Amino acid sequence: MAKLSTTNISSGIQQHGIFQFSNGASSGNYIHMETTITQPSSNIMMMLEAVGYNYGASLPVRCAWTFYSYAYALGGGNNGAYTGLSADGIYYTSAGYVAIRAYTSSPYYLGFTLDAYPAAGNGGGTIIGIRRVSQNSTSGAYY
Amino acid sequence: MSNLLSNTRVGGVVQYGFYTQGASYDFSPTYWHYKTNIALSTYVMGMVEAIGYNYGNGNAIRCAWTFYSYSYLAQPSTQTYYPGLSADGVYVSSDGYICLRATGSSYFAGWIFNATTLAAGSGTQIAFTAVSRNDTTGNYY
Repeated sequence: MAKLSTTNISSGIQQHGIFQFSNGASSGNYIHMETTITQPSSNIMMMLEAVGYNYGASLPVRCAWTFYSYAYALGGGNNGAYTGLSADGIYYTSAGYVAIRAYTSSPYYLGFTLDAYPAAGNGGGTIIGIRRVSQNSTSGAYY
Repeated sequence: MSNLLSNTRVGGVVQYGFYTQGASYDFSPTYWHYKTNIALSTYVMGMVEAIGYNYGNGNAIRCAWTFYSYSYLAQPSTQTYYPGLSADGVYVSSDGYICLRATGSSYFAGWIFNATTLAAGSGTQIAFTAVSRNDTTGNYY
């Protein structure tokens, strides 16, 4: 089960370990994480990166989400050489926050931490956290 | 058998956030030159990594440069993990210092530098002594 209380902020621009996700044999290929960044028009530019290990897939994890909390949702995901988890998308939640969505074809014993880099200009140094997390089968907006 | 545990340190040879490249608000010029404080013949093996977000091209940033400051620049390399910014090259300045070159559009882009020094020169503090943004695709310093 995810540990929402795991927070470690090393600096404003580079925030290591803002959130830790770890599961066991729970099902659901999508992981929805609702951030503390409000929408619309909080105007925060953010890069979030997951780093970890997908035991079920026998693969390392390193992927990133970028977003700008403008009047409408701007952003997406970047995936590189480590394919244990995919940055699948971002969206605005009905509660008024930015959420990120991850996907894995094999969620069996998956763990990662999130690092944050609010470095792109607007909202530089904004402290970010994760409010809620859910692992399920929803490929679109869950929150 | 060597005692590997005795070589384990937290943060001892990793410099987090030693330089932050502030946001900029136009697309060009697109080359960034970073002159380090590492001179030739100082025998430092280093890896410098840039991490951030390029809003203008809609991508995350993670790219890296490696070098060994032997009597010449040995084993330089670049790799780019996310395409928001590209590690474009490593070269030696006319006065003998290791320089890094990056390229990428920079409309609302920013990145932070981390550095690691392992093996030769472990623990050496890396810094930038000059930074320039221009159109030079080769050596600038």
